[in-house]
Amino acid sequence: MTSDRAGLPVPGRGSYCDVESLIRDTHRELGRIAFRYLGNYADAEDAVQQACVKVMRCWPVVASLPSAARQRAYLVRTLINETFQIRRQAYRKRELFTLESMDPGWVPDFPGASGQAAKDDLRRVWHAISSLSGESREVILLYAVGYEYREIAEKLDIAVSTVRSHISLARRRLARAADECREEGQA
Amino acid sequence: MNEPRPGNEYDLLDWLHEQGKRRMETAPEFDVEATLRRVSAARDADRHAVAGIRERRVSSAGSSLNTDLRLQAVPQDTVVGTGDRQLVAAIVAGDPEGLAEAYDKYAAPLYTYCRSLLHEPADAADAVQDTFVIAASRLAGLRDRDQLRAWLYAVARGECRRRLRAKAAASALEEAPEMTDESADVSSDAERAELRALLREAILGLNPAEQEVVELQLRQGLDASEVGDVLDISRNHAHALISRARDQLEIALEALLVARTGREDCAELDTLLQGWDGHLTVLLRKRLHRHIERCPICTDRKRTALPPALLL
Repeated sequence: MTSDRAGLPVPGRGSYCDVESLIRDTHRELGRIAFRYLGNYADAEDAVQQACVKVMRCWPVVASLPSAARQRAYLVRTLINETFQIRRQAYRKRELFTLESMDPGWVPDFPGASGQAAKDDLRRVWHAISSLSGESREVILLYAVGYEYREIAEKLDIAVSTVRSHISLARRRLARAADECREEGQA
Repeated sequence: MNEPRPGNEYDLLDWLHEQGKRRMETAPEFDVEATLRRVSAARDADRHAVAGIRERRVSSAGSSLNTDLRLQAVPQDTVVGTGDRQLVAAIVAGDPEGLAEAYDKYAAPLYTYCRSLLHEPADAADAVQDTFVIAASRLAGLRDRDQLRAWLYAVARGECRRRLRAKAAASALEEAPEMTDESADVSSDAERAELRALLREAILGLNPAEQEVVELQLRQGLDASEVGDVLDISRNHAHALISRARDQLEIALEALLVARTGREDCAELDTLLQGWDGHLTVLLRKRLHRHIERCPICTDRKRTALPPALLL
């Protein structure tokens, strides 16, 4: 049989026709996001590769998305899920073997803070972020990693106003989480 | 130590953002060719797995695997699909490429479907593999070659049920649709994730037969006659089941939304939900529905809580 793909959904105008070109276009960005969040090269590379394999496996779904932007957003979202999963696994491993090698994101150099306290702070924020759900979590991760509202909107193929509302909602949640943390500390 | 240290998560988030922006360019370059190699290796591995199983099946005539296959009677006259004539012809002719293409096309949706019926991801993966093994050997008997899709679903369903029976887990079907992010990944249409999560929860409030119909029709996108073929019932019967299941799903959605949002306003609802774990069950759906019907506050809540986009 020739590799004529009869029966597959027809890609929309301007969509990617194969998974390879989608990956080529998005790869650099994926690497940055994963590296910023995971803090080391090996994990980041793993996350990127796993996300790409996943998208390859459900390519018929991705191919039928109506625009290239939508397809890129799909890959970015898959990557973000993948990074959260890798991080969770890393935590679990660290709890099991009490290795201190796991870096909370990249090395913190808070103004005025140092060492363990800074690490703990940072870990708490990342933890709060990972406990958010769905699109909120994706938006806030991209924000924390250094992207501007407009860039986030582009990457996830959503409106800038949606990004703004997700971030302000998440801020409120984080503030509440911080309060609870403090109360627990006093109690 | 001149600069004040960020005091709470709120400031920390902005601080992270600023830092991230400054360091954006210091991220290392990742090798795109390595990624592409890994993707194509994974694709080859997937195809080989199918082809390999198929060969094993051919060479081991009379083995236990074979007996299993014989038990798995696929009704010859209950088969449907869309435009797969060529694919079927290739598979029947024994062309491994044909099987690989069918796998590319249907493995992901079939996996999601099997996940909805079985607890274990590994079991679902097995069921999908076996579905393709059966496809490779029995497809020749498919009368209408345009009906590949429904046929595959019917086989997958049979495989899942066999596994459930084997585990003697009568309740498994009811509990099964607790799906994880992982399975959503495979099937997800990245947007509308929230809606899907809500739907998944609501589906738990349906009885097993309705869950099955909703899964096939709404999530897998089969049409009424395909659903009929998968379940081995007439098209009209399938139609009736679908329409009833949708009504029930709508009620379940309403009940779920009211339960999640209306406790503060209605004391009776609050008592009803004492100690609720957040998951809908058939019994709870019925109780909630009865309550909402006669409680003006909750009826109001139902109207405002259910966005029109959700009306199926």
